[in-house]
Amino acid sequence: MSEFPLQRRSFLRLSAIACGAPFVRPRSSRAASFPANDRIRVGLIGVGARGKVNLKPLIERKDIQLTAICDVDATHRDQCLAEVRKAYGSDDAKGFEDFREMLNANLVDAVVIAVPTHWQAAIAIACAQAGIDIYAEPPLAHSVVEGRAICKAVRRYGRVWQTGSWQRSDPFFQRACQLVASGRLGAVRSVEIGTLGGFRDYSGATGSGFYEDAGGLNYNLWLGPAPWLPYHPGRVHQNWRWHTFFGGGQLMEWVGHHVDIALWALGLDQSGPLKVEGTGEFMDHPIFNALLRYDISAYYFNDLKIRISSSLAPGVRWLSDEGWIYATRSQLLASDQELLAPGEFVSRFVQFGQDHWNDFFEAIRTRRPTIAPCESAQRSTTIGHLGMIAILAGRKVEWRPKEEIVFEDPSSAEMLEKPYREPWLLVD
Amino acid sequence: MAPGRLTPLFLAWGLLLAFIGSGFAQDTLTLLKSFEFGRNRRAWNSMDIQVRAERNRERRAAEQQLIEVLLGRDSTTDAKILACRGLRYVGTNPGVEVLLSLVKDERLSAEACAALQEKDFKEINPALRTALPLAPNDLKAGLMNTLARRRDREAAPVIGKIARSISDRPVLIAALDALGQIGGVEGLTALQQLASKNPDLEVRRKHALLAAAGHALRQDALSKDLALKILNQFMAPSQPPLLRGAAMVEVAMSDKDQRAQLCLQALKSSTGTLLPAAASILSVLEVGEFIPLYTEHFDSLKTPAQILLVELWKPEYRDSKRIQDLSLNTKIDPNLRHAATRAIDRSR
Repeated sequence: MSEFPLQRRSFLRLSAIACGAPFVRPRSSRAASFPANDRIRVGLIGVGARGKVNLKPLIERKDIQLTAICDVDATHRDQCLAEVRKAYGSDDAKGFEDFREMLNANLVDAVVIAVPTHWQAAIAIACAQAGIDIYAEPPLAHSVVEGRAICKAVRRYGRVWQTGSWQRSDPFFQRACQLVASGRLGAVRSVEIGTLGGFRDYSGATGSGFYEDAGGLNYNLWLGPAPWLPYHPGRVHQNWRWHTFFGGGQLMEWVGHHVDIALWALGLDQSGPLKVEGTGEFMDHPIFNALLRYDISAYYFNDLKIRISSSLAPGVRWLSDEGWIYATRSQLLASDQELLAPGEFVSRFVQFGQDHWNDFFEAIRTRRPTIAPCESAQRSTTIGHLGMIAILAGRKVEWRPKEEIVFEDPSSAEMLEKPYREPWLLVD
Repeated sequence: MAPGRLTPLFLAWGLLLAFIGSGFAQDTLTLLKSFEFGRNRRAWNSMDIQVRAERNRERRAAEQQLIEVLLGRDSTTDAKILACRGLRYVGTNPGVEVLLSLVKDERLSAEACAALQEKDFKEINPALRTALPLAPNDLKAGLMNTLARRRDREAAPVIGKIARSISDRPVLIAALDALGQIGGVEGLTALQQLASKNPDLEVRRKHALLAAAGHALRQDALSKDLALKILNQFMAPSQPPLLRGAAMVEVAMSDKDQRAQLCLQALKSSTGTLLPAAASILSVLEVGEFIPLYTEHFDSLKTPAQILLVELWKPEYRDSKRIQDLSLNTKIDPNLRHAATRAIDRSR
């Protein structure tokens, strides 16, 4: 099969032309805070697998209205649009292929982003520049530098940000965090975080063949800032996470959940480790190349060790000289039942309730921070990125969390950012 | 057998092994060069491992092979793409030199630029600056982006000059964004000079100016002065609230002395359109800066601003009596009462 360089150039050119569409205009017609009886206009960007999961609770809410649906895949977009129109009994919701056109249409006050990781920063930053509040799925970003750029844009433009780290609104994890933070374990010496390894083929089309027809999917726009690769149906949609150009495998799927919870309980979600080391094995597969197995250790200033491993049982285990507390999505256990006895109330874990969506929309009305702010997402995601860099470089990463720089190791430092394919540019 | 007679035998074996080895190397290189997407990737999988190798010797060998792929007339475009991606990790002087020779190659410019973006070699920026005006328009955005992410301030006048003379819209947009990323007096000045260039790109230019000012505030004194001047212009009431608020946040983040005052100004904005900026600034205020806002100005603020302050109230901000009263007062806005109740919960 011969590749078609000219077509690739014209792809880029088309992309550049699309990029040349009028810049997203800031929202100006509505005041920044909403009267309680005013419905928040919400747009969905990315309505594949995760986006569809988000659709159900959103469509049932009376305090918002889904006004725009955006997806580069016409099939997903049309299905979702039909569902919304049916639920509302009106054709008011509009469909868009390109998020920039959606933002320009001035139809939304907030967006829910559920896209492959390589797209997250470009979309989130454009939304912030347009004065739109943002709910986005974890992991925060595809690189440390991208994550910082998102945080910067959110702060500069005063946007409300909620990461889809819903475990923060889950009563189970809230209780576990309260127990740890209230000192039940004494000084926590280490945390063991079990995350999944391997991969799951969602498409069943993972042969090494090559496809030229992407059907209703605008593949060039789907690729966006990622390096060019020919279209393969087994690499898009949910399977994007198994290729490092688009996602970060199971490791990055879980950092925004279990790692986030581990740091939150310890009050370390605004800080970072001093050293990260790791070992791992990448997939030997015709079209995937993400981490298959991994074992990462992050060391904090107080000798605290946080280990993230695909070989541990899924969940978060905080350990101290007094014993351990272990939380998963279905159970809360401890080395001694006494450690789980009701105790001191720590408000910061429960102050915004147990409804993750509610928290987001209430924050939009009052402009207060949400339970899952951008900075926390950046800190949990960074551990995953640094672990990956340590594995790729084959040596430990000495990290300076305040400045977010790698200490005296230029070749590892080069991996903190992933270059964008033209004409996309990371704006920070 | 006497040791002396062993030497020629060893030599013969050595030569044979070297011959076989070079054959293997030749075969590997051929496989690397003939790669096409969708075909067997085995040779490149081995190369990926070599690129990630810890030992310098293996990485240098990998670099040499990648260079050979890039220079090979019989290499496919796909193979050259992968070679550029490999050189991003192992490219040293020889690799960088080859990559620089490709930045005007229509098929490989984007890949070469991406590989060079993070590299710390002094010859890269001048070479990219020289290539930029001579490159076809199709390649200019990529070159500008690379210079922008490398924060090459000397590139700003070159990019500015192109932006002033070009009518190609995508290139013009790329130039605005790139100048925003470069910052410094150079980036700010170039953006100012583009003021009347294209009215429908004015908002984009202002966002770029904002980004450039944000960078400039953390650069040299001259850059900082110009950045503050521009940000002060953006803070004028005639500016759109989003830009006005963003300028306030930028100034507040860089100047501790001004931030409480700016926060109060944002809280008092008549239509509430600056509340997002107030929230951003409030998130970095220290206890001592927050207390006067709460104790002295609370009553003069409109309800949305009051709600925001109460939402962010902590026990150390004092005056919990006011919070108690708000939580019990049924005559006030229910959202304010709810915020007060939650603030009490937080203080438990």
